[in-house]
Amino acid sequence: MENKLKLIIAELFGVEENTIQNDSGVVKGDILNWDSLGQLQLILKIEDSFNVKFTMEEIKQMQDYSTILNMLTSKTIT
Amino acid sequence: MNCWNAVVKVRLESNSNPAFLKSALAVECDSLIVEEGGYGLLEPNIIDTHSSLYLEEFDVLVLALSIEYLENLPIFKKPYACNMEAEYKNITNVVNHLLDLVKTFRQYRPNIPVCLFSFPYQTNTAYNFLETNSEEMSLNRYIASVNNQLISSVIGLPGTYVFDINHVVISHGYMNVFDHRMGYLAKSPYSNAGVKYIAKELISFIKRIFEPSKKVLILDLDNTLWGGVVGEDGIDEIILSSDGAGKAYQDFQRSIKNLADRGVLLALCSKNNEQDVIDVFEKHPDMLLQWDDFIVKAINWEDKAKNIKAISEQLNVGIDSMVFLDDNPTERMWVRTALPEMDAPDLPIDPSGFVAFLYSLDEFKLMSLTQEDFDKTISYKAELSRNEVKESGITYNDYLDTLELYCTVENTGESDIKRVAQLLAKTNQFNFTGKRYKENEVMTMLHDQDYHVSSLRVKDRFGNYGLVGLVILLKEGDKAIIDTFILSCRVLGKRVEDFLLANLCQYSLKQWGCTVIEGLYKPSNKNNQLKDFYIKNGFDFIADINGTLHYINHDPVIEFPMHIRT
Repeated sequence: MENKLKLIIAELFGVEENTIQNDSGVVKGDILNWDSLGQLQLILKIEDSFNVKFTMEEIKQMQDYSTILNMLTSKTIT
Repeated sequence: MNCWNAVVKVRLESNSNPAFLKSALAVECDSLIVEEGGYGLLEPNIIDTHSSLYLEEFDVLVLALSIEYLENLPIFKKPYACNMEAEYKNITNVVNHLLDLVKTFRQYRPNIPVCLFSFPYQTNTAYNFLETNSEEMSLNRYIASVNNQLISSVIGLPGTYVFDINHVVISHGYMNVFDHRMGYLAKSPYSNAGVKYIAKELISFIKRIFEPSKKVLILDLDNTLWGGVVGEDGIDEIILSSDGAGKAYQDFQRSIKNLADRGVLLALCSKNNEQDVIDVFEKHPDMLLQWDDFIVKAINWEDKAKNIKAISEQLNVGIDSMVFLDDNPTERMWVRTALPEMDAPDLPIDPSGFVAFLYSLDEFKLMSLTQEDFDKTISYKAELSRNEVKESGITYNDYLDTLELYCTVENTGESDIKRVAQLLAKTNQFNFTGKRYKENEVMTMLHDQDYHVSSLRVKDRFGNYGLVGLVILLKEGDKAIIDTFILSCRVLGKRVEDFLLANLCQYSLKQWGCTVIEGLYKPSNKNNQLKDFYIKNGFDFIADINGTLHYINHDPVIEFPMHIRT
């Protein structure tokens, strides 16, 4: 799942996968194009890829890599 | 990706956030360069002529209106307590306001086309079942009124088009196209998938503004126009009927016919014995397409790419203006390989999808329709068959002979008066004297012993031209004067005029006993082609009286042209 997630981020923002480290606090703004528009596009793409759906509140929180990963994990487990 | 050659610059303006649509457009089509004017800036950008909208160069302006544009109308705010009369007035106000925006923009950029989104119908409205059961009001009927007014006003505005968002919504479903989370969080009402669907349709729409649609549809037969293989299964076993599964093929034929009716030329390219195919066209009761609907037929065992090339040359239409439909993927592949510019889209495997597939092809979508489109197949076919005969290295007279031309001359009857008056009023090129007699004047002549009014009807193997010629003779003692001699331009170049002259001379001599025929010619700036006509036919020039030239023939026996049958 992590690899797939990294791949999505890498593809969407046109960066190398290894720039996204598990425990690094990659956040909106660290990556070029990861702006508010990019963030929403990322969440929607994650939803499609993992067949999950986030609430507005969750989307608002998902501003960095580790939060996104945590949210996604909690969705896919339940 | 699924795009066209030239780069097109699109400018997006919206009352919502156009950023998502912008990026979807760019993803779906490499040849688009998309700029957007920012969230909610549609109106300010258009009204302020110093805005970025007027600073940048682009090819098309898209006004991506969303339903929020209407949300301030009372009916959206307070659906059950609104004043309906006032509400309907608001529709006109909204539409006029949009039109004013378009006009303002086009005042500064007169050549840039503008596409306006229609407004999407809503699901789960406050009215629920009342939508269709209340006399008072319904939100969706209201939205429909806005759309209808918008559409009918825009039809009169050149270079302005309505993009129908509801077509996208119907195709994919409201819940799939819209995502309310996106509306609240990003001011863009569409879902991730929805914005892609809209982008695809919009690209197809914009394409039609800049590129003509394809001209020719080339069709395979077996498993395309009917199920099965006629050469193997026989005419009784092929799948084609007016109900059941065979109706899918019949409906497909109807949809093809619909395309032909509005100007797409049809051709056949099939590996078959021609006679087997002709039998199906002639004898199968459920065939809707007729043999004559196809202007070129390549039915043989030759390579299809070769046949398609021949069709293209024969019609003088480029291969890139034609579409080839064949159920057989190998044939499609071969044709695409041999003719890279050929459009050979993949037909669905199940014939139940054929009609929708055909109508979904961008290649044949149209923005506008003219009378010429409706008549295209007929005129193209006539031209083509005439040229076909002309080209085969034979003399002009041989060619005329193959036309199977029939001419009939009759005393003009009262039932023809309308048509005759029309000919008199409209004919300029083949009109010797330009006299514009009215219906009642002709009527008087019909009953006057000294006048002979006759009309000419013509048909040939390509069609019936109807009443296309008129002669009015005036008897003056032993002299017959050709007072009026008119032919419609539709029958020029077939030596019909020679026939008519021979006929009127024969009449004067035999019926009236006139031994002298006098021809008149009043030159105008349109009838120049007639200036040598009487001389060529053995008449002598005698006088120019007030601009009308007089010619006399004392031996008025003119030979009838051989190629004309009676």
